[in-house]
Amino acid sequence: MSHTPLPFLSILIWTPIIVGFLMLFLDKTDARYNRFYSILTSMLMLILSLIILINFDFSKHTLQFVENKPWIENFKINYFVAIDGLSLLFILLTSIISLLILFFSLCEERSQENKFFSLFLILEGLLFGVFCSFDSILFYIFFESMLIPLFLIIGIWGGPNRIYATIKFFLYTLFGSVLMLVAIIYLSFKANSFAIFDFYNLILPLQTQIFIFIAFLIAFGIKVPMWPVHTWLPDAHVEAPTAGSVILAAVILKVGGYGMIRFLLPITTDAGMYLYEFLIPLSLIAIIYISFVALAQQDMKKLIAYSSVAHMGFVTLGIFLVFAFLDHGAKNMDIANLALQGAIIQMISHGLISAALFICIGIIYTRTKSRIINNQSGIVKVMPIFSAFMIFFLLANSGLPGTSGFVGEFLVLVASMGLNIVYAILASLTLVLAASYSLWLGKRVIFGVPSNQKIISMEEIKSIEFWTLLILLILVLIIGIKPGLIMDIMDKTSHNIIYSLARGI
Amino acid sequence: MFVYTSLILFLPLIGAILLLFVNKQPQKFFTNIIANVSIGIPMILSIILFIKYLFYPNIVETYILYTWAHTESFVLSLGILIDSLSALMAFVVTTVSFLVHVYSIAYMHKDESYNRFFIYTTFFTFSMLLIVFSDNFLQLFIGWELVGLSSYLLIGFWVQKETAIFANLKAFIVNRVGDIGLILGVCLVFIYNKDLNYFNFFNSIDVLENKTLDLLGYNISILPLIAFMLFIGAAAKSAQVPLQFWLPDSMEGPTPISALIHAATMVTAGIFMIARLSPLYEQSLYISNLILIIGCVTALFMGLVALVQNDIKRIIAYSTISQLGYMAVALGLSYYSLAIFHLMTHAFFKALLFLCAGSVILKCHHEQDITKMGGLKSCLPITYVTFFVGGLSMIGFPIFSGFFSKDLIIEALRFEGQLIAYYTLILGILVTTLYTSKIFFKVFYGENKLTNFNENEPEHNKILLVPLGVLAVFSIFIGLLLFKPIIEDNYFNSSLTDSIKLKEFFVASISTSHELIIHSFTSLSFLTVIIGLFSSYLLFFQYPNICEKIKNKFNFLYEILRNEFGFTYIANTYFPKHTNIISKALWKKSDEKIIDGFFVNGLANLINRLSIKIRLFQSGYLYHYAFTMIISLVLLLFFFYDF
Repeated sequence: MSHTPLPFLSILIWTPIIVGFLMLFLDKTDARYNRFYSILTSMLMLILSLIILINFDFSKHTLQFVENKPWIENFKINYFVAIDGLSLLFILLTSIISLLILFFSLCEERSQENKFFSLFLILEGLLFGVFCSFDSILFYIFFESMLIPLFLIIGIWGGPNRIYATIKFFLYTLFGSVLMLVAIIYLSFKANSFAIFDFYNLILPLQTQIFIFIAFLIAFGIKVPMWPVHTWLPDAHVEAPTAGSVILAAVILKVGGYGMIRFLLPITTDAGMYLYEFLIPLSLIAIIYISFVALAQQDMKKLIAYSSVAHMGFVTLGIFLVFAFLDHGAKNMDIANLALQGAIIQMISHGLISAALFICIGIIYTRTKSRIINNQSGIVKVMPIFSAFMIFFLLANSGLPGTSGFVGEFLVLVASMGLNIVYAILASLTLVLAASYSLWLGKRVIFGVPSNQKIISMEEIKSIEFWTLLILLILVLIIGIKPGLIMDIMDKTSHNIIYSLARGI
Repeated sequence: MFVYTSLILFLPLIGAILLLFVNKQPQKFFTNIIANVSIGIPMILSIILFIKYLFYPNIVETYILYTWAHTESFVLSLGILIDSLSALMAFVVTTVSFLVHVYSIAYMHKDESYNRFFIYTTFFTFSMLLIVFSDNFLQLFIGWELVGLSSYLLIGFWVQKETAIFANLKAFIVNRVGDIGLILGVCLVFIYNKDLNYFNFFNSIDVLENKTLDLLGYNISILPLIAFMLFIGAAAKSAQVPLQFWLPDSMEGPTPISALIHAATMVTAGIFMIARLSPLYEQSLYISNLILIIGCVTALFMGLVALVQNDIKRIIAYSTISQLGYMAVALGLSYYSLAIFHLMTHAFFKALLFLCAGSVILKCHHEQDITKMGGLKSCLPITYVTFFVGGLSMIGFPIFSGFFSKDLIIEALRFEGQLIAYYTLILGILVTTLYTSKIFFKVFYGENKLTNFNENEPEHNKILLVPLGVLAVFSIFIGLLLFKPIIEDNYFNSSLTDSIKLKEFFVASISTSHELIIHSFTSLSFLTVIIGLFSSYLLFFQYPNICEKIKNKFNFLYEILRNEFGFTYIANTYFPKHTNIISKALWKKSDEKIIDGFFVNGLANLINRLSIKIRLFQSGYLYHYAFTMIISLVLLLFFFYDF
């Protein structure tokens, strides 16, 4: 493990949190300073994460930028932050999306603006913390505290029904994470350590593993969200302000998938191999059933929220396929690796695409004050550039090759074919379903003749909105045209995860 | 060669990107220059390439473009494959594309989104060439979806037209149904071959021959399954029954697009793909037979539907479906060369017919109903002549290019002893002749019934007429000209697997183009053409009211054909309605009532009710607490001392 002179990761985690708190307590009068400092901080964090990317050694699968210091010595809890290829990807995603959100928020007016920006900075820091911590208690603390800023963001700046939505969202996720805490404490007693890597070496009986598996599955499954614990997501999205929806869909959901790869796969491998036949159908239901539900939606945001659930179905499918391949012996590990990489790429890609779509809907909403699909039509007549963006992202959402949406789905589909053709056939229905709900939305909202005066008086997007969408578009295209760039970052890590699992069985 | 082909492939893409940046320019000068140069240079280069391959057809070259993605054990790269097949396809695609571009300069002249049109078309040409030059399944799929995207954007080019935005959604989704088959086929190839390169796959076909796969308890051989899955994709793209119903609706787009995408190039991608994968289809006899049957059905029945249409573009659209059926028949018969030969001649004469239709429509101020037209012969002389040429080529009148390709397919059917298919296609020829002459007579002869019509205007801008002339020349001569180098000299020797078969057929039934022509005058198909021409002269020109009588007499049949054997109902009403019902039920019943209502909120309500009960204890009165304490103390005493 390499030691670096500067504690890059600590700077990355704590700078936004500290700046956020300072802003919360110091300056309460003029929001302009807050805007400026929060964007500056976020930009510095992006630069810092790019520096980390450049200094990252892609040829190794071990942890890098390690900082491991005793924290609560009585319980052997350490302040253990580090990154591997997987964490690095999510750190990049977080820093890009956070900066874009803050940047985009410049063009929206709201009350108590200084708090808004500080909460986002704090949230950014906490998210970095989640992706960097390799001590389970540290992970748990970040994982939990991440809820608070989001709770406030939805609760303060949300829509009319925000109280119901926030409470539902909070209780749902809290329920899951309490179970996770129990599991972590149990594991730490067994391993006599709180470091996640020490959990990997535990040999647990199947019975125990299943309990731990279920505890983690509920915790992360709610976050992802998996069917049938997904119902908090549409409500939360509908009530959340645009920026809240974006960070929720783009990064916070990914914590669930990330946690599954970090905890479920290596710690409870046997339980997963025992349960996968029950889990894969859950993912398939998420893909097919939720796509149908998305088709019926009247509210644009709900439609995209449901489509998020369907897309995250591919993430969980990819992860559960790994268990299935492990169960079928070690000869298919190459394909299991594809499944895992597909799941990870799907997370990154969905982060970008759903962020862009929520921004698009936010842009429509600020102009017409309505998210109901039937109230819109013919936006292309008044906002041609915006319409081009929105159609592009809708196509990406439906998995068009050349955009990032295709890559993850393709890899997971290939892997599911390697297991069972029935799974592949069912999963491939998404090609039609995703195209239906995405492009039908496009047809009703973007195309056609403007139906009312509000639409005719809409203004074309401002330059801030334009650049935000353009950056997302470029990222989506780059990943779609050369996914190898992303796969290079995580290839060693995912390969290592898969092969150490295969050695274990 | 790599740079040379890359230029052909990427210049259209560069053109499309450049056009994005001149979007704001009011004058059309830059648009015209960029759009035409970026297609024109690839056209010249592909013509040279094609001529080179006519002399040296056996060169096969592959290059790697870049690595798309790789893991420790797999490499997926995009590449370029140049052989006789891709050279010919590149020639067809770029030539038709260029001519359509030139035509569109005049045709789209007044449109306010002039520039956007050319962005889409150049991007389409790039995507199509991506398929043509592909050397692996991944690139095939990417190009496949991208042409679908271009088609989606171009059908819905007039974004405010309700029928157009309905049609493009329909086209995209139906194509996606086919893409399910295609991607499953690609996944199967990857799983069993660990690689997506065509040649690696062809080399391992012998190994895969005996492998089977378990599907719901049935053992299914891998190769036919892959062939079938890929054919689903091809059937959707090439509008074969039962996935054909998107194509007629796609005529809502601008007419040059119907010529380029929905007649000459994109819809033939399915035919091209099956020919490209001929080693696979050689090994899957059942699937070949299936393709043969579907081809026959499509060729005849969709031709019949064309008979009852009155919209000029829809008639030609149905005729495209029917002609694609002929190509599918050739594929099913394993005469891949003949399918590709027909693909080529069809691309030219069908593009010509569509562009003529565009000229007619423009003259009639976007009226497309042929029953309202008439007498246009005098004011559209060039269109009249070129349509005549294109029509004769389509019905397969001897020495016109369509004759060579179509007659060969029919002769091959007879040679192989597929008599049912043979007679079906002969009947198909009769139908083709009827509907082609129907357009011809109704549009160019008779009385004009349009009101806003000025006979004295000049025909059109010259720019619009030049492509018609060029395509007419192609439609006359290309069959005759390329018959020898392509069919006789076994042009596809190195790219398709049917060369031995073709040679046998050739020696046994025809030997040269002259003999084919001479023979044709005594053949059944020529007789059918003559009967068809004669009867349509009577039906549509001499005694037009006979048509009405037939229609009234066989009203039942007429209605079936009008409704396209029920496909229109299924596609436009039945499917959407039931999908809607299912999704509403899943959302309202399952998601909102059961999961949210019963479990989530139900749990919350339960806790709420319990807490209301428990709350009663917390009354705030001291004597209540004191009472509770005393009772508890007594109970505890009982408990511990066990009296």
